[in-house]
Amino acid sequence: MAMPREETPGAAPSAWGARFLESRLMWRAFRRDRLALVSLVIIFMFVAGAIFAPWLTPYPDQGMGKANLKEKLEPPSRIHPLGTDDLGRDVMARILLGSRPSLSIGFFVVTLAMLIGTPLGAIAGYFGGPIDQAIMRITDVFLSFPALLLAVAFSAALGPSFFNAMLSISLAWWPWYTRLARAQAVSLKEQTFIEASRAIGVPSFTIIRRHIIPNLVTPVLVQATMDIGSAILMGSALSFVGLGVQLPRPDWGNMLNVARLYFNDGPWFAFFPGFAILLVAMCFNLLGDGVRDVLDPQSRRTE
Amino acid sequence: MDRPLVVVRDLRLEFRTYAGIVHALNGIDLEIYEQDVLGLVGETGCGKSVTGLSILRLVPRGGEIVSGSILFRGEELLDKPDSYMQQVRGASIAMIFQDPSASLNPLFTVGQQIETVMRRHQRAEKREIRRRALELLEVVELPDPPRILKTYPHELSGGMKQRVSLAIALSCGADLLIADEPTTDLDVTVQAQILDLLRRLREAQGVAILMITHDLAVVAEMCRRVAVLYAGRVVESGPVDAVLYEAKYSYTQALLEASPRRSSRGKSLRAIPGTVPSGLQPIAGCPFGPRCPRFMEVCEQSPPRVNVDATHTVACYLYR
Amino acid sequence: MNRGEMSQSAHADHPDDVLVRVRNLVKHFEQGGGFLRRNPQIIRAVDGVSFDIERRRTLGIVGESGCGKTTIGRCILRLIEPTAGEVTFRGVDMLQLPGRQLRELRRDMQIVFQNPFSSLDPRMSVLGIVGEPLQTHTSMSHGEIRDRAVQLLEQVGMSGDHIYRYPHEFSGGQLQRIAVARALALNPEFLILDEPTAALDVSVQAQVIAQLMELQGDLELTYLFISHNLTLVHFVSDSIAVVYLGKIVEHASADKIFDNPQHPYTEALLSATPSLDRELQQERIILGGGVPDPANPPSGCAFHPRCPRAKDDCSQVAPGLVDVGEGHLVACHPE
Repeated sequence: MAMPREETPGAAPSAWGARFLESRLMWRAFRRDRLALVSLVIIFMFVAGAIFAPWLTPYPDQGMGKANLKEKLEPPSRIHPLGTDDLGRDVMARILLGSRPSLSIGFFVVTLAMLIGTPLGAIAGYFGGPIDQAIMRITDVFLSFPALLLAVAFSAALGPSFFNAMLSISLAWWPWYTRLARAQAVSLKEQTFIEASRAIGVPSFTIIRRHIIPNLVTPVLVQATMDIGSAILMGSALSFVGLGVQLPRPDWGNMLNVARLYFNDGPWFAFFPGFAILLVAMCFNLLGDGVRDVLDPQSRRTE
Repeated sequence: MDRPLVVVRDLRLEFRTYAGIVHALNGIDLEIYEQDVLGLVGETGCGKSVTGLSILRLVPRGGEIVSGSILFRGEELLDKPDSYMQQVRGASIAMIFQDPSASLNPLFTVGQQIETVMRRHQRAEKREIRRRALELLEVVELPDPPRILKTYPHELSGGMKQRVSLAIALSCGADLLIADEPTTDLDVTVQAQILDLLRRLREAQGVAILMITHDLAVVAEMCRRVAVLYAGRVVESGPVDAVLYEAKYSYTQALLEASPRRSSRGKSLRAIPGTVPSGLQPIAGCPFGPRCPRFMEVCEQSPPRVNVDATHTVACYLYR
Repeated sequence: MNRGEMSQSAHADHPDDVLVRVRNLVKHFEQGGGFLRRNPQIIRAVDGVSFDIERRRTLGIVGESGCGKTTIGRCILRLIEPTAGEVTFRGVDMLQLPGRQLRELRRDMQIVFQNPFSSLDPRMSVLGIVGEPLQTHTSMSHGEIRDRAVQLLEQVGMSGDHIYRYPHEFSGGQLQRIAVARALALNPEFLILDEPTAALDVSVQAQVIAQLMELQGDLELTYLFISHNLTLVHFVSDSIAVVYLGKIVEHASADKIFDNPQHPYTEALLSATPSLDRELQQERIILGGGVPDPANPPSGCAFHPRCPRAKDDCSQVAPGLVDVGEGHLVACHPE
């Protein structure tokens, strides 16, 4: 609202209250960001594609790995709209079925990292002192390595598989959420409603569960939305080096791994999975930007 | 107290918000005379701050003056270009705000801020400006002016910052000072100092003051005349003694009865039932109607400004 | 040095009637300490405060910013741990209580905060907010909590329909009433009201104050009313303690404070408070300077640099609270 706050002293709504207050207006603001809307639509299409994959392609078994050696490396045509791969399998089918692990790793990783990191951060921020120090030192150790490196290390140690890849990336990623949650918790615990709950005699952990975490949810979710794209990228990176989904089951990353060898003869084989990764990651980023712009009070003040 | 310095007639202002159009000002009528102290009093959302800002055409983003007139020394301000207003602001009409921390730039010293304003409106040598700045700091009774010139705002207390704001406001010989809740954030003993200073400055410099406040007691002590605002309209105005001790409009009376005072101990404070209109719906009749104990059918039409006597006006059918 | 001497509290004719007893309460904060900084400044927010609060009465604590009045309230509730002193509630020493018993005692003493917009969790429904004390201390069922919440809302003059709504849907005055409802959920005996109407418009303030006074009668509550607004404190309180820089400078019945102030600060405060009553609009006593920095208080009597009646003694020795007649206490060196 652009109207100046003509208020008696101390009557300003807290930042937390104001944010919640405008949740209905947020959707209206979001609708105006066309880039974010388009991204949302594209993501929905991909997700729908992943869910309904076996029914969307005439070649489901090729998608799952059955070779079709007679049609090796054929360029895009009417029967194979995106061409075929090195073993003659329809690339579109491979991409559709490969979208399942590729996309889902993004969601799973982010969810797991959120579930591990957020409570830890909330506890560290709320209690402060030695507990905070302990948790943050451990977090800092993790943060001192590049996430991909950690993920690769964990994954190699655990053995190559989709599940292990997902676990590894989550283990590399949770510290970011801890840091975010801790920062929010530190500012939240100064709020009067937290003091009010203490005055009532609510035990600390209950305060964290009932008051701190629900009020953290918004910034954490924004971060999570933006992270899904990066998680998908990282998942693809792991598969690319062979640490994720194993062939012949499809995954965009492992497809790229093979496709690069055939780039001269069949560039479509590398191009389409690569493009899919690019498009999805970009859409999640734009979506996250849109969500953050909507939630950030500054940018909504303009009329 | 003869010619009006500022005349506001039927000023209407709207804000475009996500929730719809808010009718913030719905026909404000005011006169500010030379060397007068006019209080503009009302509760949250009545439009008093916006009125003050409108006189300087400093309407906040999203707001628009849709009709009305603001005359300064007979000149219509609403159709002047921005360059003209820039001359008016500071040199003819100055303003101080509720939170001096927000209106003083933390990156510049006090001296730099006073001098910048003076240089904008006056041609004078650096030395002359410096001398004048020191003089101003003395006028606002700040201790050790040469040292204050070099301090940054955050090094000063609230009361001192407000004095600096006053010095800046008075630096170019303004005829009207608009003071928007200048003492609301200050301790009561500091408030007494600042109000006392304002009174003396008015006598010494002959500046008129538009005192915007929610505190009726401050109005009682500081102002000569007062206008009571409700839902973007002036509902009652006149000399302070008349309005506060012989209040006519129901809202004014209710506000007075709700204000605790020494003599109210033992009695109960009368609350006003209902709530202030949000401004999203344009109100056809009297804005206080729904909450007024003396509501009549005719109140559904917009009440006229009625003269109770030569100086005291009320927007109420009861006094027709 | 403080030659504190409290011969008699302002109202303790019948010691059984005292609900809360505070003796020599001290709270120091440290500022600027840390790993590499050697000399932290000590802020004496509360510097030896003593008073009694009688059952079913209201004690008003009034002072300007930084005087420590809010800290006093927090210390009584042990929301902040006092540095020293004694706080007794119904005869029980609050400061020695272990955690479990302290929690029990929280049922009987509650607080309403200044800013209604930030003292209620914006993500919780009114039912959740008002029900939280019940959830914490009782084993009431969902339905029972809901019924009690409705009852509490009605008690503060609001409709029970509101329990499923959220704070952002209400105005400041309504939110404050919800805060009062929450404070009353467990039938406390003692309520600390920390500037409960400072954030509200005058007309809304009237509603909230009227409600609070009605509730005090109906529920036999004891109030500690903290405010910077002397007129309001006078209206609401039976007795008033005036605080300056962490110490009580005067403590007497509300009328005596207004009719016969003894301490120069009280006089200045009264004089500085603008008033609608024409009889009171007189010559102002304008104090010079501002409230001193609590980290660097003046020596002796903290008020002496601004005091129109300061003598040599005043900068050397801090005066203690002395009864000047009928329980009227003043901390000032005699003329």
